[in-house]
Amino acid sequence: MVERLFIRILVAVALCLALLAFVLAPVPVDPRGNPDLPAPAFEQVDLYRLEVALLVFYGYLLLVTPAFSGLLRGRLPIEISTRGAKFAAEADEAAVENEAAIRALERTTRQLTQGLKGAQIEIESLQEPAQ
Amino acid sequence: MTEREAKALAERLAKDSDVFDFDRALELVRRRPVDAEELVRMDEEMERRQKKRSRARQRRRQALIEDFF
Repeated sequence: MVERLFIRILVAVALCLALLAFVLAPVPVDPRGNPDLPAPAFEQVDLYRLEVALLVFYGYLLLVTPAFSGLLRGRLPIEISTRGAKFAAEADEAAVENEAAIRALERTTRQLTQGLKGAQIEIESLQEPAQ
Repeated sequence: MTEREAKALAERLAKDSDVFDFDRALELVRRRPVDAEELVRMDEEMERRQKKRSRARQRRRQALIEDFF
């Protein structure tokens, strides 16, 4: 509960910083005073500010995620990608779940196969008196 | 197949089975020995696969821990 509250606060801080960056980020200008924006901004100041805000937001999350789990939980993610941070325990849990599902399927297959063989014997034994 | 071999095969078939008890397994062995042997081979193969997956999971777990540090 406290942890979730802490996460909410951290995300709120990230959002506030991103909004501040959007409003306060200085726009680079050339010697003549015209905006001299980098290529990804497509010469649009608003797009440049939005990109700066996104950079601040996700940069902050990228920094905070391992710091948070490292400091509070004492473990680091094994992977940080666009889909988020992945932890060793979570990856292992997924493998355990897959293993359980495979075992259940194997058990079912075994039961069905044995049942089929059993049914064949039953059918044969029913056919015998008729022959 | 001797009677002793048939009983041994039936015991292996009946082991952990929800379908066959020993008598039914013995009947299968007597009537369809090839099928009975195939079922036992399937069980053995399943056990081998389970052990292989278990070892793979252990290695993966170890690799995750080593990557972590």
